[in-house]
Amino acid sequence: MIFVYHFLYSPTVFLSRKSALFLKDVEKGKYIGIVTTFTIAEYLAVTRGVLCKKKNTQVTSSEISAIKAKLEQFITQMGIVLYDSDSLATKHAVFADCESMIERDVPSLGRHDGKWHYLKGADALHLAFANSVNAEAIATFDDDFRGVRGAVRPLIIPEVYRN
Amino acid sequence: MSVNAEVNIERKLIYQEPSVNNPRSESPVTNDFLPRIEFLNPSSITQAGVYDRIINLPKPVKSWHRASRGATERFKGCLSEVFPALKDLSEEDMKEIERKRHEL
Repeated sequence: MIFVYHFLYSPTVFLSRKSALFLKDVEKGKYIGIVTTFTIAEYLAVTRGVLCKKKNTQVTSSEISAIKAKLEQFITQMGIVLYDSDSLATKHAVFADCESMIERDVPSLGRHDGKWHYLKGADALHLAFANSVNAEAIATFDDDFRGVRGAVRPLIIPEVYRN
Repeated sequence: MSVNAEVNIERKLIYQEPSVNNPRSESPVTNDFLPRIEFLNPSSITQAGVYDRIINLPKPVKSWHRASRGATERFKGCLSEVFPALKDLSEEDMKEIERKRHEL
């Protein structure tokens, strides 16, 4: 989602500003960025959905290619490590890990929205992939990661970049 | 039996000197795990999982390298430039995007 907020940057939007600050730190080498092909799939799904809604027409395959190309160029220029999710799943018990992540997750009540936040299926899959490549943290805006217990800790961006 | 022969027997018994005809042999190799466990480095046991994970890590499709300077700035709003419909999204639009992600 950080990529989506950054690629749709607007200076007045909080999520965009915080994403840019985090990505600037990745560029400086403060963090080593790691993504998987599953991250790309999610980015494509979300961006396609937004474009579809805003244009109020179907998104063409050339537009999807353009959306995908932007992320691939960005990953290359940022020096972000890209892993193939399929390869990771053949070497590690990724789906079993997903299950145990959900079991260990501690649901929490949101401070601002008053809603319950808990780890969803796709979130757990991201975490399991992160765990399989020995990542230390998962950068997110999502409060659903707040209750994660395990080797990969949540790096909640609005809390790291408060100002 | 001579006195010397008796002394010899006694000495062999006391000092358990091996007989020339029946030399002491090494204890047989049992291949038992217990005698060997003390030679194992404890770190190799505690780190076994980590070692396994590092060795088994697949090669990334793209490896880490230093970022190209200014990459973050160059890609700021890059999709809004390609798709004018995505220009000037509001905070509410972005929150809608976040909600869409939750639907995945």
